[in-house]
Amino acid sequence: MRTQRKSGKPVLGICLGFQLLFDSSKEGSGSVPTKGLGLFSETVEPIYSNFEMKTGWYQVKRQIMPLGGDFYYFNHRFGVKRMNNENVVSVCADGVIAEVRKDNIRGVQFHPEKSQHAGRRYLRGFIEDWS
Amino acid sequence: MSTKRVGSVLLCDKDSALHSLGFEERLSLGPIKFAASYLANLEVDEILLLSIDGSAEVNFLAVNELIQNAKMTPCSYGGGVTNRNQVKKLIQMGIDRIILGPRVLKKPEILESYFEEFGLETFVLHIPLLRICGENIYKVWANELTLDEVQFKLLKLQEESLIPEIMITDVQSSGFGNRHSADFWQEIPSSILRLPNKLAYGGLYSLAQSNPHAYELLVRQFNAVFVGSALFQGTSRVINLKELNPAIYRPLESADPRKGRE
Repeated sequence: MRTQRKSGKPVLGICLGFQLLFDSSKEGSGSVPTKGLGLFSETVEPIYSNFEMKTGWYQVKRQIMPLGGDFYYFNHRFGVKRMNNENVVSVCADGVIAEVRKDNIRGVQFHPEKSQHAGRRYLRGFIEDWS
Repeated sequence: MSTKRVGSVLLCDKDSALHSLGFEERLSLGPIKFAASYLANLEVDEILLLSIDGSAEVNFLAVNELIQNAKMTPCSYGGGVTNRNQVKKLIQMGIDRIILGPRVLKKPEILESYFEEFGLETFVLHIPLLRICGENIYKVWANELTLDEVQFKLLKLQEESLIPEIMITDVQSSGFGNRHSADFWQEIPSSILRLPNKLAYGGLYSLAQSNPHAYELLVRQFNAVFVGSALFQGTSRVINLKELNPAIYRPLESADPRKGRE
């Protein structure tokens, strides 16, 4: 991954692939967080206090276009909440980070490959950004 | 903002999609590939494939047909899953979530090892319920566990934060015009209704038609509702999801938030 990052080639992390981009994760690791790739500084944590899952279609709001956004399919229990920096591209209404970006690395908590037309548009946009 | 899911259950035997009553009386709906493609074109929120061929094997042939034709729609699979290698292969094939029957509750250590290895969000626990002789007594279908035992084990899993999404099925439902489904869903045990992460399947189209008020209440209590062969009743009865589920789609339509999915 680090080689890929230095090469400048585009990388897209999806769901767990998104979570691996962060410093650490509390999923399945007992008291000591599991180390991530550290490309983003936050920790992956349970998104809801009662361990409920987030499964289904959620609207994602881009930071620069707060008035609307596509619905994407999410299926996760762990994620990143309230990350206030320039790397956040979009968030859900519950504050869960949906998309991050730094240089050639992009990560999405949702599943564009399972999000029907919106997902197809997203993936097309990702390819067009780099072509 | 989120939406409640409206999905479809596709029953199958080998490579054939089926219409069934109580998982027993069966009528072929044609090849799975056509059924999957049809549902994907309807833009159901999720397709849930249940193999009911009676064997203890995973129907990989059907899974392959589903994945090839589901056009970026989330897919779940249930039927004959008994070991981790099958779970792994299904995930590698592109299945998002795997449905486990209630007998897995007999061996909670296996369930925990699955959750540990693949993540809780990868599984759905299926609780098929039968109402006995129309009375307000329920039994878990085709399983040696009683409903009380199932509820006890579910509550224990919940205490340990190890509870996946639960799929409650009305096994006796017979589709259109079936009044039984209204009784079933209105009188379902409250201990089950209190569980988080629930999805409902069985006779819901009938319920929406016969008792919209009960249907709206049900929708509020569940994260997702799934319909079966109501989506395959021939061209004269093809329904779109807004007709099926106005309780969910009406408030969202006014703000047009789903335009991104069209």
